[in-house]
Amino acid sequence: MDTRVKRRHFLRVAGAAGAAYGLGLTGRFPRIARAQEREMSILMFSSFVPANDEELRMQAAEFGKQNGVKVTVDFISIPEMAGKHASEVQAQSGHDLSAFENLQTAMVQDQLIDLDDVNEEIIKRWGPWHPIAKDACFLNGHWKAVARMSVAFHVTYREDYFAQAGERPPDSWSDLLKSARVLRAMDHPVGFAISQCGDANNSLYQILWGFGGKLVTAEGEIAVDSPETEQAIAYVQEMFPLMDREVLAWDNAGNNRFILSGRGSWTLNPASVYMSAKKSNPELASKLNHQGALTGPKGRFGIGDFYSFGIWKFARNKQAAKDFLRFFYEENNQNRYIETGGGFNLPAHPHFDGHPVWRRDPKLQGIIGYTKWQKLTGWPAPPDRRAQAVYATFILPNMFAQVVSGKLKAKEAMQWATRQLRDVGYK
Amino acid sequence: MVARRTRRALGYYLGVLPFVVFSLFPFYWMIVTSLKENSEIYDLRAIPFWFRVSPTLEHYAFLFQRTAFLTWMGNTAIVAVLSTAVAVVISILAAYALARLRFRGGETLGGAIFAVYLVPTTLLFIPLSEVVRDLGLADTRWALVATYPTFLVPFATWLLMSYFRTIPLELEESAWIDGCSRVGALIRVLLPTAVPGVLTAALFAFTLSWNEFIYAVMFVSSTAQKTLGPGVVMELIRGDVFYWGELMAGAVLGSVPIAVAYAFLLDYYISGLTAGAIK
Repeated sequence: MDTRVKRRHFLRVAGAAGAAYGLGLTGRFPRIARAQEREMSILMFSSFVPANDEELRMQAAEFGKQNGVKVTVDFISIPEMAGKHASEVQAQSGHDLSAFENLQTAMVQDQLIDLDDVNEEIIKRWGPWHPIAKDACFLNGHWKAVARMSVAFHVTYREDYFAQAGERPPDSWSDLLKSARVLRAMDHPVGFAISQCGDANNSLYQILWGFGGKLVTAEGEIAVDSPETEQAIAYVQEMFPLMDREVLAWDNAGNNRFILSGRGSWTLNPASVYMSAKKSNPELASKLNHQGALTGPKGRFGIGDFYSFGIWKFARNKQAAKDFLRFFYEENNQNRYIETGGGFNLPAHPHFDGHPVWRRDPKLQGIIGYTKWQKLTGWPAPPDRRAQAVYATFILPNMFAQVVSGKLKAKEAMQWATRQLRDVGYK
Repeated sequence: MVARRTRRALGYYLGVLPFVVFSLFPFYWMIVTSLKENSEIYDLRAIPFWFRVSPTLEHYAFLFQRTAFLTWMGNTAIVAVLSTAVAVVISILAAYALARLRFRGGETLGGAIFAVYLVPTTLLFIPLSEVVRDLGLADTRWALVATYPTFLVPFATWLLMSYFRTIPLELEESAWIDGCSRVGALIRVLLPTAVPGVLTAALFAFTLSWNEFIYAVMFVSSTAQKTLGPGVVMELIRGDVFYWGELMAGAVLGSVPIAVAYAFLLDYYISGLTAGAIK
């Protein structure tokens, strides 16, 4: 038998295959039908606390069983979420319910259905949310998301080092400066990131606000070049020699390593340091403690990463997604979810500030109610793409870093920041 | 005589030593860190290059017992092998056409194919999301098998095109004279001669597929469908907490198939690269 491939035959087959592939790519094949209408999918961030993820999975399964819906929950890490959102929005297809961080809700608000009814039910039942929930989720007159929780950026400090130094844990930025001098001499410095990472944004916004500074007004006008900002810069400049120079190169885990190594005495971070230490170094964990936001000349301001849930307009099962949110916000389910979080995630609603998980562990009592001080990144600027660009391009940390590293003077750094803010679209 | 030979050998080894250290240090670091206890990883008094206390396998145990590591390895292998196979077949045909057939715009087409390779995946994933949806492959590993050839084919085509051009046309002409068809000559004469080039293209495609991250993150979400890179990163970096030991263990094990592939095919790889794309 002649097994040779004939040229014409080859061309015919290859041409047909190419055409078929091309048709497939251009969508002229009927799309493969979605098997069942009663399916619902959730896209979530991997939580710091794996048990929290498991609890959400269990609640999703319970909800599915009760309502005859097949619910799947997928977890991805935080840095990948923005890309995933972009991909799903472009395809107008993907998960029904998605988690959002900080300004992400505002950035995709046109793609989200209104959740006024779900929010109003919650407010009617328990009263208003913490203010930050409204800043993040109430956009252009509608609730576009339901607040979930906050990973607060509070104080973590070493009780033993402060005791040896004869210092009380600082309550204000000026207290911290005083303690930092003593702790530097003991070779157990304090530290916060002044680098290109989210933790640096979260640390330096608190200081900027505490001194009365802001990058942009609520109307979107550039306001960084001010005496208040100059005071905040002067403060950080004074702090910098008292910290390790590595703070200029820290990533988001830099402050974790700083405390977990036993060197650092004070930093700004969620309770992840303490919770990691509880697992890997219980002796160190016993020496750690937490505290809320520090106060500055113009008040006490907190920050953190704030999380919410939204439902896509392209969701296949919007009603089931909405019903799941109602289910998730039943008192018992919230209590279970908070319990499995071990106190790491702070509640978005003050109704749950009194949850026993924070009272059971004396080390966590200092952070109860932190959410009430919290502002959204970029505040008081409106939550939008420009504020996200400021966060993502690290304009604030770079302004401080250029001064403390001696590259620019304070005035020049503020002028530099003004130009950067103009570049991202502020007037 | 012996002393001279020893001196020469010493010279060779000393010359190559910095490159070996530079290349192998990341692997050494990964292996050492993957075998350290967590408390030692964070201990500033510990020597980072060696162990202060006995090595532990706890991170490897965690990986196998508490994550879907084996599933991710299996998915990665399936995706890498299939997308490499698809890409190599398409590339052989494309490269043959560009290297051997004369048609209007052939040169431009060759350049255009390579230009496609230069478009970053961070841009391409957005339009490709629509393609994946239209093919009904969202959140399956088959989405990766369908999309990886988009960056594998241009590179492999370019490499093979250069390689085919180094093979004398007379070999195929002889086959034609003996009654072989063009496709027959491609299969029976050109490809056996071009084995180093084809294997190099396959090895490169396999490595790129094995290590690909962006598409794997964007098109696949569920744990059971994830490939190695996204699986390890997404499940072992939680907020600002990095499971360093487990991450390093995952990186060590994930490197093994690539290292094995290169170890067996290194000679082909070198001859493929030097005879094809670079020469």
